[in-house]
Amino acid sequence: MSGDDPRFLERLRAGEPRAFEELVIACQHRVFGVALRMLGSRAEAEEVAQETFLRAHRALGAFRGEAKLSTWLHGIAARLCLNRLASGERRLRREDPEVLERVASAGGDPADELERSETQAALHRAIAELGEERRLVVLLRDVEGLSYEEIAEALGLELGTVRSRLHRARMDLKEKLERFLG
Amino acid sequence: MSCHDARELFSALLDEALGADERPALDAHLAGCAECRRELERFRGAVALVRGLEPARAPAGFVDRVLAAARPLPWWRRLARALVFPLPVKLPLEAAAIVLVGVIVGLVYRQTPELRQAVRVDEVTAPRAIEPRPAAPAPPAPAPAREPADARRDADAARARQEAAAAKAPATAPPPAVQSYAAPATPPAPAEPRAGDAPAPVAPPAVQAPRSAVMAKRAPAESEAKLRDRGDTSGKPDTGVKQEERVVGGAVAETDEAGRRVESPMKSEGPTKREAGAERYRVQRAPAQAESRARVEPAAPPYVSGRLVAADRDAAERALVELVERAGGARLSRRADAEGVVLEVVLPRAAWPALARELRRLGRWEPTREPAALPDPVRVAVHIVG
Repeated sequence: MSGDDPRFLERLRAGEPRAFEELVIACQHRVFGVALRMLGSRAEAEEVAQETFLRAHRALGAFRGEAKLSTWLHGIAARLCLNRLASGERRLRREDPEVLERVASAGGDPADELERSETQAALHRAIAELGEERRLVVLLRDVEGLSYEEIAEALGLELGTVRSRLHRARMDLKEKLERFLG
Repeated sequence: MSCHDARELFSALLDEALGADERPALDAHLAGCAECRRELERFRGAVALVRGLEPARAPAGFVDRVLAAARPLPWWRRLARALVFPLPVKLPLEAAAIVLVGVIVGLVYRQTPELRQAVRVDEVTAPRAIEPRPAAPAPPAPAPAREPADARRDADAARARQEAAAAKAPATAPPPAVQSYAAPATPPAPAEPRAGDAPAPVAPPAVQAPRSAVMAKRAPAESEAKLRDRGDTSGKPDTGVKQEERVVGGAVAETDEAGRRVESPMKSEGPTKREAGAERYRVQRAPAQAESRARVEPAAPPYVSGRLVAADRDAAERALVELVERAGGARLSRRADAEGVVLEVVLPRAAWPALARELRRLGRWEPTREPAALPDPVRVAVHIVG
């Protein structure tokens, strides 16, 4: 899938099932990853990721293509995550950061994993302890690789707000990971 | 530039997002501040750790589940969702359903005592069937020829009903022969079965209750029409028989219903709780119930009927009432017509043979209807003529 491919967008807008399938295949891991690290639960992350694609499927006909498809999807997923986190009905089933790490690094070399386990556990814990809005910005920037402008567009924020939140998040992480940074 | 200002630009420095004038100032500060350089290195390290996170992978089958959920629903599920899912529709529907259930429960609850009352009252008072019927003109013909046609029809209908009840509810045990209102002084005389008659048990009078309840709900016009039919055909026995065939059909149907009633707990307690006498039932009778029964009862004739030709009509009537009361029975109604008096009484079945013998002593007893198998208690209509 190429998010900026006009023909692909046309197929999506026309409701072509195969095009939607390509979109899900291409973006599933990124959308799921953001949801997982925001919510801390694989089950909830899958629910949110699935809902993200279903909402996109319903709205594809009105998608104008002003943003990248991936940015658009990240924006939907981010709103769903924040809504769920703000909901009082949310079930408290966050998983241990080490579990998240194993999920994230599944398939890696076990020896390397053992060597990195302590740092990785501390990193996941530090990310999980960030405030929700800062966590979301740093994930979109440093894990998903979105630009400042894309983050601002996805989250509906001013560019300065994105920059500020991102810096605060990184500074928090530096403080929490001080002993692993030499 | 202070150290604080310089460190605020670290993120922009890493992302190459510094303004044109910010970069030289930051570089100048870092060149002269070792602490900020070390801080920048730790900052870079933290960001590198985050960027080094391996991407998460969606669970197996995720794509299939998304595609299945995104597939358009069949029309009937879309319709059901449209009807049921939106709260503005769903909530009123649920509320209406709850209210409906409540109303039905309330109606059934209110109906039940009436039905029970109807069962109790109609057990004894069904012979009032004759009351609403207009009195037949008294022709000056001799007695056998003057036998009322509707009485014959009543007899036929009741016989058919009894036969149907006996056929449909053969397993039903007949009510106990001895009842509390049977006079202790009166020895229980055995019934006199006619030769060839099967000793089938007869459905007790209570079996007519469902029909009474159902018919009481019908439009008065319908009942009046039936009464009109009866009045019109009173002088034409042939036509009357046809009319009765229709009624007999109804009787079979109601007997079928009665067969079920007989097995119900309400019915099973009927004979044992029927301890109060007929007078008690008469007292309990409400005007409205009497009215509804008047429409119903034409289809419920007495089990035994006949003419008593007596020299002294009044004396015969007094003697008859006395005999009935002594036997533990009671007078239900009295109606005078052009020929004489129609008395309706109820008495224990066991006392009927003795009463029949006494009737023959009082005068010429001409039974027009006397089935072999009688219910208990048995209702008797005696037309006393002078």
